[in-house]
Amino acid sequence: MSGTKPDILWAPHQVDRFVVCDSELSLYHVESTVNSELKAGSLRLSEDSAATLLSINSDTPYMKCVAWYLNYDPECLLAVGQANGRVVLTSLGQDHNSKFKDLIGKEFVPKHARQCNTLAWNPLDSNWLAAGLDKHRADFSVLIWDICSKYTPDIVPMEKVRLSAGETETSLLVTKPLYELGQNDACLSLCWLPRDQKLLLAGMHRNLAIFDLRNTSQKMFVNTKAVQGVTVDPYFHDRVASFYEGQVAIWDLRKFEKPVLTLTEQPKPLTKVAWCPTRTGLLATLTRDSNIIRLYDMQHTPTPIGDETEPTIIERSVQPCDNYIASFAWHPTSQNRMIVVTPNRTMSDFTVFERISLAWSPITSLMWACGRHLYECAEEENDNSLEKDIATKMRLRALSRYGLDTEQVWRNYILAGNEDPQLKSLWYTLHFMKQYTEDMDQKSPGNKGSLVYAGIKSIVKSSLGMVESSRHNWSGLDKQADIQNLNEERILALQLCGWIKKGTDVDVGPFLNSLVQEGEWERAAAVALFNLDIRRAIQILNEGASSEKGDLNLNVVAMALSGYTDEKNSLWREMCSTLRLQLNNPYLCVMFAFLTSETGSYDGVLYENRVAVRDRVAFACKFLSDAQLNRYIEKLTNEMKEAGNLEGILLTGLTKDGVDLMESYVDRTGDVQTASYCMLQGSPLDVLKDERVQYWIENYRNLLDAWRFWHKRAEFDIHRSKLDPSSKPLAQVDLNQTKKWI
Amino acid sequence: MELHILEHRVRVLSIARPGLWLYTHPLIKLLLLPCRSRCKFFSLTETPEDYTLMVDEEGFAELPPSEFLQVAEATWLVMNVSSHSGTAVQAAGVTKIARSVIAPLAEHHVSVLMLSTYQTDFILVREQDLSVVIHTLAREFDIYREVGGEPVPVIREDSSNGLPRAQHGSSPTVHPIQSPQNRFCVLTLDPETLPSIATILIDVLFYSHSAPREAASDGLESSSIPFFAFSLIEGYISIVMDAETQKKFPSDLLLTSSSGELWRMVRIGGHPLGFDECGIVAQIAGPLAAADISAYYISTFNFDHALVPEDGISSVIQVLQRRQEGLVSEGS
Repeated sequence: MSGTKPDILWAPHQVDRFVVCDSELSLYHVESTVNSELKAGSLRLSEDSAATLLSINSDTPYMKCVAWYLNYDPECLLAVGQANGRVVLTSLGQDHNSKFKDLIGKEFVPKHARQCNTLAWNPLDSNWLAAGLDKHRADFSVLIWDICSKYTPDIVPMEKVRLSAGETETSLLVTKPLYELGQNDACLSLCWLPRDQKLLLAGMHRNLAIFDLRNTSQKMFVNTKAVQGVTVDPYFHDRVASFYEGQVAIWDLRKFEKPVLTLTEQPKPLTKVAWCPTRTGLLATLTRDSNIIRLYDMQHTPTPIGDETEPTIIERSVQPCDNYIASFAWHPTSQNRMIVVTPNRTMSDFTVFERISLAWSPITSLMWACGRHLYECAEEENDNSLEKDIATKMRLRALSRYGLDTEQVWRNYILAGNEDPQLKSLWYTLHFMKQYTEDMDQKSPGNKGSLVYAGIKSIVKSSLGMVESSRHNWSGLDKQADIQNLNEERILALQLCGWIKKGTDVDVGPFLNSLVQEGEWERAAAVALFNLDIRRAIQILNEGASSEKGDLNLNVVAMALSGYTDEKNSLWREMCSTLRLQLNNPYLCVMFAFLTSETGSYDGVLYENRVAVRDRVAFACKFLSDAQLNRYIEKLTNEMKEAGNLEGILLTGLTKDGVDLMESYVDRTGDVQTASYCMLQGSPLDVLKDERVQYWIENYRNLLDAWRFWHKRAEFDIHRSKLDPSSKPLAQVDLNQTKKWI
Repeated sequence: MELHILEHRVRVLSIARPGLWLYTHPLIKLLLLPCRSRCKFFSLTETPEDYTLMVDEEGFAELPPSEFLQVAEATWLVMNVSSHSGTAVQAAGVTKIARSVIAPLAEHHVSVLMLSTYQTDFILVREQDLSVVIHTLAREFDIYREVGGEPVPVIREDSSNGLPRAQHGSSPTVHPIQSPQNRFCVLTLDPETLPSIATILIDVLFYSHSAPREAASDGLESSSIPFFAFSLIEGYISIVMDAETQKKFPSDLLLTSSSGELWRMVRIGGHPLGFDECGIVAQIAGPLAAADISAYYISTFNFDHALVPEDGISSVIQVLQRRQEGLVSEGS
């Protein structure tokens, strides 16, 4: 502090006052300037505060350290430690009739003069002041003074005390300390332990020592170099910080053998270390020639659950000004507020912002904490957007046992809420795959069962290179093609698409009936037409028009359809090919596209994205050549993978391709639930082992845990262990064993 | 009790008065600009005969060799005793460690040098004697050797092999003593205020003395001698100077005891003592300890110096003369 480097202290009680000390003591008053102009003579501290100089005290030369009296004092009573080891009580007040007037000017004189390094007021007995001095070969370095004690002439004979001029008021000199500690040692820093009035922690020459004044012959000590700036964490009384050069050591007094932590070493020597008095576990440090204050946020919580583990210490820094900082002081009560002073005595008052930590609840609220404030952001109960949230959906689906129906696999789509066409397609696909696998295993075990779960892409590929299969070549309705001419693979594909049922029956009739029953007249008509049965198509449309829910306009469509002619240049063809684009229903649209298409060119049907993938694939199986079919399937697969469209599982099956597709679906939706159940449903082992699959499964389990759906979690684990033989065996409780314990 | 063996490796040298001019530059640098060198242990003692320097190797490197510079052969290690126990105020200084350190070392024929400062007492032993020192003192002390600033406990080897030294040799030579008339004070100084006394210090150290008088008349009643000791060790300053000299300095910067006690000197040795003889400190410290008289002790290249409280000088001389007579009568 002496000479060039000022120090700064907040008043412990009058929280709008602080003192800057260098060669003299200057008391300032802080005012808010939010609603007022800067007063003449005030110093700006920040955008909204300014300081006014109240008084200057230059009575105490050779100041080495200053400590503010801890009890409330209107007169700003300060203890000043001097270069000669004397401690002087002085004040910055104006009222000389105060109760402290007897104390002001009092001096506490050590037997042998040497520098006073540090001062500490006892927090429990406000009259006790500890002073730490440099070494003397025959004297003590820690002196505890009672500021109210009287001069004791019998200790040092009067004539031997060589008083300098002005020290004639001998009653102000105290030479007998209450306690003397640390013989033939140096004391560099001191702090009282809040635990007990009589415990004092001191940074001595080579060690940290705890002196117990109840038994001064005993002390506890640990040898260390980190003896500077000892300071107790105000929130955790066993935690102490000290430093040496650029290194801060954190000690736990309950295990006072070595530091529990050391902070990252700084290249320049430290000058000050201070715990924040208004916030737990926040330590500020300053090094020489630096314009930043480093902050260490020490969490003593153990590792939190989950993968977002925070380190035990979070290091940050603040730069309150451009100049080097000479010293800083935390505000005693204002949260995280600090004042810094630079060597040329400019000051800056600021608040250290808290880190904001944010957490989603597993349901739908968001919380964040900043300082002592906790904010919760929850959406209103009846908000629709909440229902659309995937987390809400997954939670409801978990409650409805979604994914757990392994017999009527398609039913899972109903359990999922019967609203998502992609989920519908997915679960039907999985249903058909399961069905046909079982079917085939019965017929010829080990044959093509595995192929089914590999998806249409693989099925179609497996037929490549074989004899070109006959297929429908659309040239007119009269040529009733025979579906039985299709090869085995294409039939399997059509089965998976749901157009034809299992077995040898290749009639689409049952499928059409089921569509009609569900009121999907347009789709039924289109499927009928693609099976070259225009009459059935017209009939279905009529049926639709006459039904309650149907659209009367279907009759008009039926009329248009009945006018079909294969004459290439007819007016019908011309009108239909242009007007079809105005039809809203994609199935009606593709019907006319089909009827007006040039031979062998079905792009109007194949690339109508609004038509379900399974229908387009079935169509392709019926009308494309092997090469065309392969290209088309390949292209469509890639499209589906990119879009993360679950309808594409029909093509990819539960293969690596399928995992890729699911990955983009999860990326898009976050629906790890569907991903987990889908992949567990018949994937081969190598696919289940894919780390993405395992990741979804683990995440879904964590999610169930987070919702506290313990039973659902258990159910899921059982489900998983049935379907994935590689999963770890379930933890089992041996009841007999348990009984024994009990 | 703990004994710390410090990291300094110290050389002891003497600059003859006529050659002082050659060394003023490095001395002023070591004395006043400690930040400019890596020297951590610097002690300069002016005696009527010479200027004795005790400096660590970093400081030694600053000093060019010349015909005026005599260097003691050995490298010396610095030891320091600290007591962690007790509040019992013992007689200060060498007397405190006379029994526990000085006497046992003398018995084991270890030659020691002493350097008392305002802050503490340093005991210097030759590096080659270290194992004997550890062996000798391990019973009384927890011994730590400082490595990189951290004290590392020294494990005592129990074997007493390689310690052929006789426990009791022939009685040591009794060295004559004399006591100059000067009254000395022992002081310290805030290193930050060193610049403000720099010019006075240079003046006092290097320029203020007339040609040395014919010192070392063997009578006890010798007149005043020039003596000034300055040390800057690990950042701490200690000064021993004549009370008359002190008047040249501003009174508010030099720090001393609040009692302002003054000290008288006992100078040991009729002719230069050398570095091999052991037991010199012991024969002074022992009787003082027995009489519970506190003392400072400063060894120099040629002679040793003890400082005792002004009031006690006559009894000290009595005590020491008894020793002389006793030993002489024993010896004859």
